[in-house]
Order: sequence, then C-alpha cells, then structure tokens
Amino acid sequence: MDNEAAKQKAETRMTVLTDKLILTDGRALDFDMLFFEHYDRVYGLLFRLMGTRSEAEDIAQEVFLKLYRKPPKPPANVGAWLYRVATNAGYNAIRSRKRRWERDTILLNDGIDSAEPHKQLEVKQDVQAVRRALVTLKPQQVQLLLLRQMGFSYAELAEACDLNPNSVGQTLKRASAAFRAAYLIETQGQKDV
Amino acid sequence: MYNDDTHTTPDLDFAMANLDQLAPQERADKPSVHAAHQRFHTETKNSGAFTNSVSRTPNRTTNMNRKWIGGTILATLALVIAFSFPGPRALASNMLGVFRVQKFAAISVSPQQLEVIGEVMEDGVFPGEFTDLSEGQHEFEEFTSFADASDYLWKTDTFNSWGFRTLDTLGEPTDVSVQSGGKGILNLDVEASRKILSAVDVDPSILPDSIDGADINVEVYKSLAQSWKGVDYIQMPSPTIDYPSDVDPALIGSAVLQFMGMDEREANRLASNIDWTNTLLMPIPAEFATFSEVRLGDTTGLALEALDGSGTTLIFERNGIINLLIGMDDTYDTEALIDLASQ
Repeated sequence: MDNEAAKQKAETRMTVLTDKLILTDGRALDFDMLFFEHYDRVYGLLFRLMGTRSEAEDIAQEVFLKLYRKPPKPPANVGAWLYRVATNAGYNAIRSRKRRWERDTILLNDGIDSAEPHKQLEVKQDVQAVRRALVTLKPQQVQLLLLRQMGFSYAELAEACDLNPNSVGQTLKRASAAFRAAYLIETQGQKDV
Repeated sequence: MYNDDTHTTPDLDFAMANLDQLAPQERADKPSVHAAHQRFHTETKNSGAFTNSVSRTPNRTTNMNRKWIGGTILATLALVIAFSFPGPRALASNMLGVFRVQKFAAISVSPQQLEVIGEVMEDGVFPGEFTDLSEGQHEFEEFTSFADASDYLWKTDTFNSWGFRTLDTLGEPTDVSVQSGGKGILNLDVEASRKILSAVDVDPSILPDSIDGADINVEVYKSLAQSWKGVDYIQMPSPTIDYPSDVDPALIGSAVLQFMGMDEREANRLASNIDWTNTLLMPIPAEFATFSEVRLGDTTGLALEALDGSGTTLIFERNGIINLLIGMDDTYDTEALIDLASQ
C-alpha cells in the first residue's frame, strides 16, 4: 500500500510539472498527452461524486471537450483547471434532482447479491449517505476532500485547488469537520426512518 | 496513508475513512482510458461539440432532445426560484405570493449567451443555500398500465395528480412510469445572486438588499410518463413556489430576461406585460429549436420544433397540470400533437 501511494504521488507530481512545461513554454497543448495523463484521475474524482460509471464517463468527456474547445490561457495549471471543472460539473449534476434520483435508483438495485443482502444493503445506504453529505458542502470543499482521499499531498492540493499552501491544512480541517457534521445528520436521518 | 507530509485530525480521519468507500472498487467501475480516448476523438472529429452532435443517430437525437427539454424546464424552474423571491426574512412568516404555472412565455437564447450562462454555472455559484427536504425520497416506479399507475397515484398522492390522463386513441402505452417529486427551501444570498448577474453583464443593483436571507419554499409533485411508438406524454402538476411578496415582480422578471441576453430596455418593457405569478419562462436555445404559440381549445401552449428535424414538443397547462407531448418522428409533427392534446 505504501508503495502504491508513493507511486501515485510521484505520478501526480510528474503530471503537474509536465503541464507547467507544456504551457509555460508556449507550445500548443498536446491533448492526447493531457488526456492520458489526467483521464484516470478526472474519472476517479467524478466516479466518487456520481457513483456510476456511465455518468462519470459522460461528464469526464464533457470536461475534456471543454478543455479542447476552450483551454485555459497559459501560464495555467491544466490539472487544477481539469479538477475544478470536473468537480463543478459533477457537483452541479449530482445536485439536480433527476440525476440524484437516477444515482440512488442504480445504487439501490446494483450489486446487492444474495449472499449477505442485509450487509450489502447497509453498505450501499452508507455510500449514499456519504454522497448526500458531500453534496451539502461547498464545491471547493468537495474537491479538496476527494483529491485528498485520492492521495494528493498538501502541496499538490494547493496547486489543484488554487489555495495558498499555508492554508491547505486549515481548509482541509474545516472541510472534514463540515463533512462529519453533514454525514452525521444524514445517517441520523436514516436511523430515524 | 493519505500523505506523509502533514498531520491529521480525527475529523480528517473520519472523512477519509468514509470517502474510501466511494473509490471505484470493481473492475467494471474502471473503464479503459484508451476507449475513453477513442470516444473523445470520435466526438471531436464529428462535431467539435456534444451539443452539435445531436443529429448523428436517431437514439442520440432522441436522448438529447429529451435531455434538452427536461434541462430547459429544470433550468427555467431554477431561474424562477433564483429570481422570484424577494422580501426580508422578517416577512417570511406572513407569506406569501404563490407561483403556479398557468401560462408559458418563451425567449430565444443565443449560443453565445448560453455559453456565458454555462460558464457561470460551471463556476459553481448558486444564488443561495438550498436545503433538500425530500429526505431521499427520489423514486422511480414503473407500471404495466395507465390504470395501475393511476391507482398508485390515487393512493399515494391524493389530490395533486387527479387530473392525469392517457391518450386513448393510441391504445395502451408501452411504458408507464411515475417519478417522485420533492421539496426544499432556498435561502437566498443576495451577494451570490448579484455575482451571477454581474457575470453575465447585468446590473447587479437590480436586486434589492431586502432579498438577502429570504426563504423560498419549493415543492414539485409526482409526475407521470407514458410512451407509445413515436410519442411520449409527460404530465406533472404545477410546482408551487411560496415567496415573500414585497417585491416588484416585473423588476425581477426583467433581471431574468436580461440574464437570458435581452437588452435592458426590451426586458423592462416585456417584463411589465407578463404576469410573473403564473407564467413559466422557457429559455429556448436558438441553435436547437424554434417556438410558436398555439391554441389548444380552451388553453394556449408552446410548440417547440427542433431545427435538425429530430422532433417536436408541445407544452401546455390544463387544470393545474403541465403537459408535455413529445413527438419523436415525422408522424407526430406539431399538428398531430395539437390533435392529440385537443382530445
């Protein structure tokens, strides 16, 4: 696990550096390279938000299409731009009633096998509570928490979320406290039902 | 585990432990980046934009058409919610104006303005804090017949959906479903609302300070969808929006119209001629569709025709129910849909 985390971290750093080189050198954006470098993490972020592969894939495509049509002006941190646009797009989508209904329906019917149905259902309900709690937070808090869970360091979070490196810890602390409060409200609601 | 260069806190540990559950677990949750890249290239090669790709295949067209119509309605409701409710918090208790849809007005929105609005939305600015009071009751039920769906609605939604009907001349529908409604409260943030207006070059001072902190109650009821070959029929009771009543609705309506791209003078003129307590404003993307007002016996409605010929939609209100008739092939053009609506 330690090796995996270290590898992921190294890859993230390399990606940020590569973006900077591409943009500050004034060369044209290499979309294929950017796509391959960032897709997994953009998709991973969106999957965590949306909970379904199809929605995460659709929104990831929209995010890269936006990059293709209207890239940020250099110098820019493409990774930060992608994560911000992806978070906002996912956040907006998940807050819409229709999308939320689709997600909940799929989650409830998906992957509950007959071996331990009650346990599986509890896990699914808990996952839904986590997502509902996330949706109550500000987009930047959502982005910060999810990227942190994906293995980003404080320095990388500062870059990806356009934060002062010195304030990442405090911002993360506030976001996690807000999440905990929201999650407890969500799970309390489930128990009351 | 998450980092080795910082300390942690109990709240952070708690958050990370819970968020771990959201990561893709199964192989099926982890798509091939090469397949995604191929899809990306196909999309960019064919059109340069998803929004322009609606005419490539019939299924895609239908889905996009539906999405667009649904999205238009949701966006419109969101805008109504965002801009219709002034009034100080102190007046919230002695509410209220009540918004219920009886008529429709349409405004054509340019692709350029849509892009500007899209950018504002992407920035995640929201005109206040929305509290969902639906308690997770977002459900979708399928039924084998209109009669079964009616029976279910009668038992679970005793008065709002009583006016739902089917289209007898088309026979039994192939698909019948009911989608649950929801309710919530929007607590307005005047600064955020002004920020949205500023972003689209509308004078933010049009919104008075008094709207800050006002609570807007929104309730959307269960809707019924029926499908036949080539046509869908969706019925939903008019949503209700309760709001403090101390504002000039024409002024707020003007803000909405300007948000859609209309110039200030024309927006003011039009806004003063619309009854904003019962008129749902429909923004129609100019690059997708044209619209016209149609008479349907005792009421009027809007006919929307997709520019790529992929379909026609008729929207009208009757007895408190919003009706959408969606024609998806040449059989159901505007005239045919008007015939169906008039039955």
